[in-house]
Formats: sequence, structure tokens, C-alpha cells
Amino acid sequence: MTLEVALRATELLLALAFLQQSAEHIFGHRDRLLFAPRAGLSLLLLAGIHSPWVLLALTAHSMLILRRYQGPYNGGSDRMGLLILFCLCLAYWLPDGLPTEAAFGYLAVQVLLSYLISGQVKLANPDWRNGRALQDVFRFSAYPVAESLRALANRPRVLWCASWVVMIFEVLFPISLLNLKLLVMALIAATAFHVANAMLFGLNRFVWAWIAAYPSIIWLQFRLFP
Amino acid sequence: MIRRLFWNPDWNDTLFVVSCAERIQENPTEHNIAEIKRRISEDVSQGAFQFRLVFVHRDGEDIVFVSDVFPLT
Repeated sequence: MTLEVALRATELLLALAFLQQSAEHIFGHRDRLLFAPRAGLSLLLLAGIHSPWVLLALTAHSMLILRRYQGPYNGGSDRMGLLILFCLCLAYWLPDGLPTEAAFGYLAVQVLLSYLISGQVKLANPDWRNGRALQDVFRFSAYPVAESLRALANRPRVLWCASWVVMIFEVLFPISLLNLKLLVMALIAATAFHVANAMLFGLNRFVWAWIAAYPSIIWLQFRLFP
Repeated sequence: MIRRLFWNPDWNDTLFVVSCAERIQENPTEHNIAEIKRRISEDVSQGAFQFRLVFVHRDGEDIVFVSDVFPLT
């Protein structure tokens, strides 16, 4: 995958992620005026019209959104969206060559670290290792989308297995960079993981935000191991 | 469930309220209190209201914040 193709793919996926978020605000009647400009700019990005300027405008507009909510509205998914936006913006506005590659490569490394560090933190936590953390999530947290899902807290063996699958997958994820086929399989598994989180905990925006960053990892794989 | 992948505004707003509650627990600010207050006032028609934040955990529950009383205008 060439840098140009990866940048364009990231642009398209980010535009779709922003459109999905904006639609939830505009048609869900929450801060519709704030998100209408983001939707408009995302459509321009989708069409590929003056992308560098559109990315710059989206970056400036994101500052308004951050100010409105005194931080991210949707936690990690907003942070990932901003990271992609900033890296894309830098990749377009920095001189061609190494600076552009460094900006886009930084995004790929951050995504790899997002899995690695998340897995490492869980592994270091005894409650994750014995499955109790996931039990607590289902029993006490505000995240399960249906009360019926709370019954999963009474399935400790299932949750212990799920905890270890998630931890092992997350810490081993960066190794997939060594081989393209392995990476594709890891990205499919990661997508399934995010979709499962969306189904169980309603974290739908995370799916689109993380998928938007995947072209950067695929490009980095091509770049490091041609 | 598939629909939720694309359209989940109410749940995402609920998650934002959870974030506000966590921020209030760490450091109460007018902004975060106002966000919760605004959402409750949309569901209360008359009188006044007060809200409290209760964090539930394995060993029981803690009341981490009790708001002022807000009259509805």
C-alpha cells in the first residue's frame, strides 16, 4: 500500500466516522449546530475537495468541540479521532518525504501501542488475571447495554477465558506487524473485538474510529517489511 | 444490535453523563454539574430537583456527590 493510497483511505474512513458521530448529534437533537459544520467538512473530505484545508478546518473545529465538552465527549473514540485528524493534517502540511512519513507512521505506532499498553495494564492487574474485573464491569458498571447482560457476571469461567483472550490478543498485537497476512488477520480480530464492545457496551463510535486508523498500520507494514 | 453500530445517540449521551459523573468525583466543576442538571431538568416538569451520584462497587456503594437544589423556572 502506497502512502498516497493509505492517506486517502484514512481520509475516507475518518470522514465516515465523523459523519456517523455528527449524525448522532444532528438527528439526535444534541448540539446539532455545533456538529453541522463537522458534517459539512466531512462531506468535503469524503469528496476529496481541498483535503489539506478541510483537515485544517476540521482540526480548528475540533478545538471548539473539545471546549464545549471540556474534553472528549465520547472518551477514547474522540481521542482516536483527534489523533488521526492531527496526524493526517501534519502528513499533508509537512514537506513530502520523511516528515510526512513520520507523521503518518506516528499514527500507526500509536494504534499499535493502544492495544499493547491496554493489554499490558490489564495483565499487571490481578483482577483482570482472575477474571474479576470483567465480572465487575458486567455487575456494577454503567456499560452493559441491557440488564439481561448483567447475568454474564455469574459466568466466571466464561469471563476468565474472555479476559485472557483479550489480554493475550492485545499484548501480542504489535507482533502482527511482521507479516502482512498475520496483520490482516489481527485487524479482522481487532475489528470483531470492537464490534463486540459495541454490541455489549454500546461503544459504537470506537469501531469506526479505530478502523479509520488501520490503513496507517497496513502502510507501515509495507514500509518496514516491503 | 446491528443498528446500534451506526446509530446510538441516546446511549452515547448516557456515556457522556457517566464521564461527567466521574469528573465530578475527581474534581467537581460547574460545567460537569450543569451537564447533568440540564439533562435531568429536561425530564422534570415542575418544582425543584436535586441529584446525587452513587458509585456502586463490590463492597457496597458510596455517595460521592450531592448537588444543590435546583428550582425549575
